Amino acid sequence: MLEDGKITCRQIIYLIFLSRIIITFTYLPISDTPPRNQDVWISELLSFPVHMLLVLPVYILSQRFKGCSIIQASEIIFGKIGKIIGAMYTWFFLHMTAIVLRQFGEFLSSVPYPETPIIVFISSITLFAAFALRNGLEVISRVGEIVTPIVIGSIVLVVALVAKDMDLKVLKPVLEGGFIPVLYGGFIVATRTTEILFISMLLPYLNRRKLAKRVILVSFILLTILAPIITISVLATFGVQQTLNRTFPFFSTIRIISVANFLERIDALHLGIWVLGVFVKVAIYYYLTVLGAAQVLNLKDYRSIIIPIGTIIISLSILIADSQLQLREFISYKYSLWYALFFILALPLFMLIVSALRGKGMDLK
Amino acid sequence: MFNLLKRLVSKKNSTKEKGELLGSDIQRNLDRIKEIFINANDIVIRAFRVGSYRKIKASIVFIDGLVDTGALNEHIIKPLVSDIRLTQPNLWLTNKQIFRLAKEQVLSVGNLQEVESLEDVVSRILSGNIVLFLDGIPTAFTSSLQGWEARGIEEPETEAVVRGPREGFTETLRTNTAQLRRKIKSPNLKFEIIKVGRETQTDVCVTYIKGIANDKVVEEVRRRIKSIDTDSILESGYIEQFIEDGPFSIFPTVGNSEKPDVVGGKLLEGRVGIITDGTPFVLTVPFLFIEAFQVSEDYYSRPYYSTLVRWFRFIAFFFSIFSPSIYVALTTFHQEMIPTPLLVTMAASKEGTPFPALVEAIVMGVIFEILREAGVRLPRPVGQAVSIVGAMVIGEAAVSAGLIGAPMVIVIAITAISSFVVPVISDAGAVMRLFLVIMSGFLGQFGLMLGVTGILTHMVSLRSFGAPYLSPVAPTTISDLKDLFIRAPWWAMTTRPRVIGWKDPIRQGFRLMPEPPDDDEND
Repeated sequence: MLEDGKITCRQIIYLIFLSRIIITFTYLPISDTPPRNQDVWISELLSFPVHMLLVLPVYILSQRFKGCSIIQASEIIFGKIGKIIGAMYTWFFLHMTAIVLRQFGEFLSSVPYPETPIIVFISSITLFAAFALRNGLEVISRVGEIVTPIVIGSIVLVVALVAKDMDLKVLKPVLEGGFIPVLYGGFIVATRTTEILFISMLLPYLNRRKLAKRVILVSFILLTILAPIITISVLATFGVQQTLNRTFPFFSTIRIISVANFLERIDALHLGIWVLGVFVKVAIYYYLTVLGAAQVLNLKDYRSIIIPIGTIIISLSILIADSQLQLREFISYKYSLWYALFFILALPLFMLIVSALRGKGMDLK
Repeated sequence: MFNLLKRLVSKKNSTKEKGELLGSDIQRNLDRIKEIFINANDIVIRAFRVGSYRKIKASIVFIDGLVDTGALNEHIIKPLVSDIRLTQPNLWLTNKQIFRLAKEQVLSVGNLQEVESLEDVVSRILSGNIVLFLDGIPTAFTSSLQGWEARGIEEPETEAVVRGPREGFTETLRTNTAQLRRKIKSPNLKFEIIKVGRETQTDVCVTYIKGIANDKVVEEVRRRIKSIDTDSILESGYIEQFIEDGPFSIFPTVGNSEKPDVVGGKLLEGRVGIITDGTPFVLTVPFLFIEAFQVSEDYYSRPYYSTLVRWFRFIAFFFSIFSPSIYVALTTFHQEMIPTPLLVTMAASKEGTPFPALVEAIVMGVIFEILREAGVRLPRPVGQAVSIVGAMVIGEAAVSAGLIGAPMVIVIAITAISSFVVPVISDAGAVMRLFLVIMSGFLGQFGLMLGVTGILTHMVSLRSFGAPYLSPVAPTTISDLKDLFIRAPWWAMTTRPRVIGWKDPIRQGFRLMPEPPDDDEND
């Protein structure tokens, strides 16, 4: 085994949840997606059944090939050609890491540190993530276990503190544009959850495999509860138009917190918690990249490729976009929808069908 | 290089040479002992004769100063030379008969053992036992009549309590084991002696409660202690550094205490204790980070106050680690976070000070550490002078001379006071503080949090004898949160910490909450 650590049910749930929600802590990707009106929070609620559908192929695949990640499974199904699929998934994780890093760096170099070059933030957090990677999956998931309650707590705290500035009337009228755009929005929200692939990559390391279903259910229920809370609080604070125009909506919400003329301008606190959360997200995607590469290349130990892949990630995160607008254009739903759908749904479905036709899987392990 | 190898090999051989047995000729045995102890003038060899008709030679060997001579005279020498069963006139006894008589009827000591190899004899003598030779017998008696000048049982200065037992461990191993035995009167409390140190031959005692402690941990402790190959163990700190899990870590992964009640409590949770002869500090493993915040008095006071005080400890720890770095980050990068009136005052007081906040923080931190070290090492009367000079120079003069801003002095003072609240990790705290100050000096809040992630990563990767260092937090164990951020009342502390005492997790009954008797029974 490349990784001999075991992680608990709670740790996987936290990793999936934290990794999905932490970008929302600053950006609000939902504001780009249809229906682009006050009903976006309904889309987030509706994303739950879509999540459940999307997760099915990956889940069935990982049940069919017990103890194998999707990369190893592809090699079992297709033989040598399966390496190509493995390499594609490794690329996907690499790309995701780079995107997260870039989003992180863009925020830091535009708001709190306008004069510092973006590479400083990207490379320093990658360096610390590499240190976490050296210690293995257990360590990353334990850091996640510490950070996630802090993040959840601070989301709740922020919502409670801005409650007096909220005006829930902006949420009316409900379903103004009809039901179909809202449902489409729910679909898009679910396709953004590339964390679905964690299930296929991390389930082999779950200490009690029977709890796999609970992992999936609990993590998506958590997401479905907290994501609308964030969206509603931002919407109710700024109104629809303002929300859609802002680059960092939730961050702006935190900025307007003012309690008793004393607790105000706590954006440095936001920054601190965001760094913690993004650190975990970067670490886990970076880890999956390294693990995937090691599985494709049949390495005995993945530690030797941590630094090389790290340098690739850093340069890629600079290269993927010329500016923040270009980055935003790419990660908006128009492109990322199909890109993510290909990896989350199409490829696993294809693998599932082929493995059923060739009768591989069940009897292997 | 070759010579070194040769010496190592020969040393191995010499330690393996256990085989040399005692002979029946007393003179030869004594000569061997004299040869071994040549020029060691604290060795006493007292020769006398036993018996009446046939007087056989006998000798007692011991080290002067380690033996209770009163007891020796009373219970060994006097019976042997004057007991009626040995000295009645015209009684003809063989050597063997005298040996058996002495063993079974004459020698009036509780602790009498027979040893046959020279190696054993020497080590017994060195650890303060007396050894009795009889001519014609290839076996020697040994009895532990140790009696040396020792410090009495006092209250340890480092772990003073308001409520709770005030006795502390002493430098004598036997006294310490007795103190533990008095707390835990169970045959399951085990003491295993391992001798460590080629020259010092220090007794190291592994103690645990069989059935509660994890056997694998006990075995691992034994293995690690046995594999120590050094010349000397003078304090338990030596052992700590030979057996700890994170040798390069700034965090301690082995706990220590000077108090029997603390160590007893830890044994009862399933930990393993390591008592070293010659020091009152008893080590306990596995050591979790949270133990630094758990003080024995928490468990003796009522739960609300204990919980509150524990929170103050967490807050103090937070201050001691973070306050200089937060100050540096705020004043250098995030001035907007400081409330405006305060910002104006701070700007006014920083007006004219030459150094950036980072330099100020480092300089003041270093001065504080120096002052603290001076205060610890100097004799008491001089120590006061140091503290006055420190307070005057740093508190007043540095500010009025315009070298350091006044807010920085306050920050360092808070840090200093706070760092004494959690003494166990204050050394790790000093390193973390410096690291975080530098990080936040370069990158502000981002750097500070980056440093925090680094420290967190390191801490969760640590293990102490198999137990994750941050255990009840990460990995989370719900049932252990009762003794983490709160201290649950004793009737609710049903289980032992899971990562340590999982072998016998239930420590008491479930429905122990005190409640008034049922009305039915009253009627």
